[in-house]
Amino acid sequence: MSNPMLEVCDLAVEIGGKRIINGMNLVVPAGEVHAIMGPNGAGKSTLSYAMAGRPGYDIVGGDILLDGQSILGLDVSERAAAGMFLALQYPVEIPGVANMSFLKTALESLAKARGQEKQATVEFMRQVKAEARALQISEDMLRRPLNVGFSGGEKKRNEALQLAMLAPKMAVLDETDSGLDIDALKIVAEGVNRMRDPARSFLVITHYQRLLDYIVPDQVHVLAAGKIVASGGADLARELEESGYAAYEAA
Amino acid sequence: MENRDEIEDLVQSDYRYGFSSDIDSETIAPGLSEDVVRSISAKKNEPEWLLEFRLDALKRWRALPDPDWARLEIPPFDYDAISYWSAPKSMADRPQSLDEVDPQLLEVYEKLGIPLKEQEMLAGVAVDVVFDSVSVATTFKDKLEEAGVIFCSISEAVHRYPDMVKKYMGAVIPVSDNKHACLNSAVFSDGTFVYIPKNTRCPMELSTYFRINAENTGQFERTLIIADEGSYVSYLEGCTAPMRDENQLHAAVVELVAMDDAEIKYSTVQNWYPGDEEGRGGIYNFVTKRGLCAGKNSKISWTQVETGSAITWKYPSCVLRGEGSVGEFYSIALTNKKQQADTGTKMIHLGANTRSRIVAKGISAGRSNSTYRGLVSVHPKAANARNFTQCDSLLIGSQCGAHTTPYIESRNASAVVEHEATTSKLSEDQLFYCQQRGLSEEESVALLVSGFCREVLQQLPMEFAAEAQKLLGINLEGSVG
Amino acid sequence: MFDASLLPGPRTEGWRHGKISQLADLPSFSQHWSVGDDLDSGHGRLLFAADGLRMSQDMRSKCHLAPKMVHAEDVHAMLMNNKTVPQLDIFLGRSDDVTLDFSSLHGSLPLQLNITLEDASTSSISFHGAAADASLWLRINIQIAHGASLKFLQHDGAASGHRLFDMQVTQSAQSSFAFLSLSHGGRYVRDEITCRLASNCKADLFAGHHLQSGRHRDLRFRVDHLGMQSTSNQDVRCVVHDRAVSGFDGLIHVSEAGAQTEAYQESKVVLMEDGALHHGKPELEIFQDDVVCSHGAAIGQLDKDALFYLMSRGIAEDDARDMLLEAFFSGLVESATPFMGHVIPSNEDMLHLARGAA
Repeated sequence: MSNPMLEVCDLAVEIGGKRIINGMNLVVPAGEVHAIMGPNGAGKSTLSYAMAGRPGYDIVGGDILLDGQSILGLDVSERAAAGMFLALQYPVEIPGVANMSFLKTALESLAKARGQEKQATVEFMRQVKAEARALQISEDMLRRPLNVGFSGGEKKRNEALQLAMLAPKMAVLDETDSGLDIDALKIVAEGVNRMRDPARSFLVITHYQRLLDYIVPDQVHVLAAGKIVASGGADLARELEESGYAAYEAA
Repeated sequence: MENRDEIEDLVQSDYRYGFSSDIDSETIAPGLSEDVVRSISAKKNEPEWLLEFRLDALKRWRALPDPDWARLEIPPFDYDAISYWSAPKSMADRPQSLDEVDPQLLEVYEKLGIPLKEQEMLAGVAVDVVFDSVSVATTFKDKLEEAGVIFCSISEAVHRYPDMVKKYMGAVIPVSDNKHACLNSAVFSDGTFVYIPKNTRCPMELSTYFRINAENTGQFERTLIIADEGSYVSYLEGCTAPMRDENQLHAAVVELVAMDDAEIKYSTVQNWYPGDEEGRGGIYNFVTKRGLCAGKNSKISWTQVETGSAITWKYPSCVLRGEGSVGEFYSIALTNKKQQADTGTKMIHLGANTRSRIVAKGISAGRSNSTYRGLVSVHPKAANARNFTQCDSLLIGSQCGAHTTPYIESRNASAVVEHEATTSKLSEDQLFYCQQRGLSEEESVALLVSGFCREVLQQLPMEFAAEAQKLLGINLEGSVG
Repeated sequence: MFDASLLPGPRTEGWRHGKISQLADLPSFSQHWSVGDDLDSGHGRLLFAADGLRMSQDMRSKCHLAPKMVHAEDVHAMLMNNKTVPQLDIFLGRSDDVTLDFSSLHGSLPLQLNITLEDASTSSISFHGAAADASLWLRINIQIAHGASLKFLQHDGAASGHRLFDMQVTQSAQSSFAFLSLSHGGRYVRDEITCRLASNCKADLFAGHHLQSGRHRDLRFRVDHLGMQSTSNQDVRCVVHDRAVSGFDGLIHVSEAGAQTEAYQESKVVLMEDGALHHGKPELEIFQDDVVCSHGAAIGQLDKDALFYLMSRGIAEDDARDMLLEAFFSGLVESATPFMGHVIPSNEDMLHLARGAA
């Protein structure tokens, strides 16, 4: 039997000595989409940063396995090379670095780290343009400096473009719906759905159920006070939408 | 960033150009005296007026104080400990073509990444290489001669075009402008002379690679570029030097003159040896560069990428005399380890409707200090003069310093002078984002820094921009984390 | 006579010049120094006249005459030919409003003031400049204790003669200092304000000058961030007429210890006629990477579009100019008001400055 794509075992994470994630367990099998929902301050963003290996998010207990291998010993870019992708809630602006150059550089770095041949420029250009069209990203946006002056919707579409180009094994989407109007939400969700694949898993982190109407999860987990307090099917998200998180926060 | 594949080269860190070539040199014994000046002049078989020029400079030099206003700690310098002349011996009988050039010399160039033999085949770039003091070989001469462009060593120009050299040498930078320029005037060894005739667009980019090789040899090259009415030239200068424990002095003088409607674009990528982690060794780069926009609507544009040298003292400037003339200065100064840089520009607005633009990017890492120092001066007759200055500093690490010292003065009520400056650090968010997408830490830093410098990098010709970007990466290795 | 080259700055550094020679005709100083207490009006008021010093009753308890020598290495002392400079120590308690009034001064006066603010106190000082026939050399040392706050208004009612005003403010942690200066310049006026900030301090410096023909003023701000998490702001606006000489040197210095500093500086200068001269040096000196610092400097003219607009509505050109100058300076005072509280110049004074009268 093959490994689950992501396994979080008894994870404990601290920021500046303060415990945020406390004994969390989660298994995402290959090819599945799981959602993590939770109230503000539950530790949702902390979880995503800890998985990506951001400095300052100290893992003080437990383990994170990606495709059966622990990734705790890897730094941020090594985790990326191992197949971990994090779509940020607030994608960072990088002045002076053209969007497309960044993508190419990232792809080449990943290929190098994985010992693969780098993609031919012609092939790369063809693929970028095709994916960009699907996400309604203009050529102008591809040439502009990365995320600089992009609207909220443009930034998220651009994250979806990177997701499509980098084709990770495990994609974590952190509050991808925040700051999106319904049209942009649909475009981004379609972009994600196109990427669904038996060899790829998703963890969709969100506060609201809205996104899950478009990216339908196989399982929904509720994160409160640093651990998973409830799990269920897609219906759980709708229940939460009606009843709120209060019951879980009290627990 | 098309050149990411070259990142591998960058990973082997430290000074990549730090090899020393064992070439038998003919060197004058160290020391500075009238006799030394006379013998330099004699070796070059110079006319009397030039000897007088040199001797006059030497006299003035003794009386001049060291410039002390820059934010630099310059250890006392013993001018008598360096040699003012060094020529590779095999050059004594002047090769007529590249085939006659000492193969070891050529190997040096190949290590530098400018194989001359290939240069001739590569379209578009003519290279006049200064190896220590003698101009070794000049390529593409024929094609340039066809266009009427003169591109030769200054020693040659002294004999072949004495009138022009006599008229313009020292006309933009007076002999006693400052101590370093004055020293150059006394002992300059060789350099480049360029003349672009009227209404001529120079058919290729002109390029010179300077390289200091012999130990204890100061390099004092002198460049003079004259762009006649309606002409255009782009000139590239790249500098590297081998790794040594002693400090070496480099005091160059560059003078540019642009007549009516002429344009000169002068680009420098400077990567002299910066010294080691403890600040031992390295080049003292004390350079005086100035352009005179003599004619109406003329334009002089300086672009510099300064990544090397232990100490950089350099202010490429524009004197905007012609009505409607334009001066530009684009600069990247990167310091790491214990490097010090005090660099910037002066824009002197003398004529009406003159415009200038300054974009300076400073990056400080390690225990280095980098200062932008600039002067924008608008004189009473410079009606409607315009200047815009943008200075940005980036600090990497907590032991370095980044400083901005602009001087602004206006004496004309219709002039507009604007200055903006910011100081920031490399953002942790940006670093994380790049790394999350798979870039290593060093790749991320190089990428962010080149993004920070983009406005300046895009002023450089393509192949130079790629090299400059590479240098930024190399020089920042190990500065984060 | 003294050697003008020994005078402090403008930090020339081979690039710049000042108009130092103008000082060479500085008259010799009167050596009389007497104290009287016949000043009945005014809350916490010190009146400096050529024949001595008068103070209000409640001021006597705050003051202490200190016949100290100034420091030998002090360049200003050279100016005095090493004569003793009279010193006055002033101690400010809970919430004192103090007026330092030099407006009756006509002769020459060298003076050092040492002002100390107690912990957590809140005080204000209003300074009135001397008359056009006076020569005033003033060194003010201010110590602002932990958590204390000081507002300082420097206000010239009219053009000055010679003035060297050198104020050094040392701020202990969590203290704040606000400074607003409005000046007509003078024959030779150099005002220097240096703030040294410990941790969690605030310094907000505002200054403007309107220099009529032939007047001079050099203004220098220096803010040293020596502790963590301090913020500073400099805002300077100058209007300069024909043959007037205006200077602004502003320095933001952040030491290695100045993590999380936020520091800003802005200067705007309007040259009214040809022959006006402004020289500026907005400087940053940063030894810490965790900072946000920026500065902007602009030299230009009154907004031509605005001038045209006003005139097209029937306003005479001179009146339109006055209106724009008024707006230029009131913008400065508006930005300063949240920091200066009640210690701001009156509307009349503002008008006076905008018109550039006398």
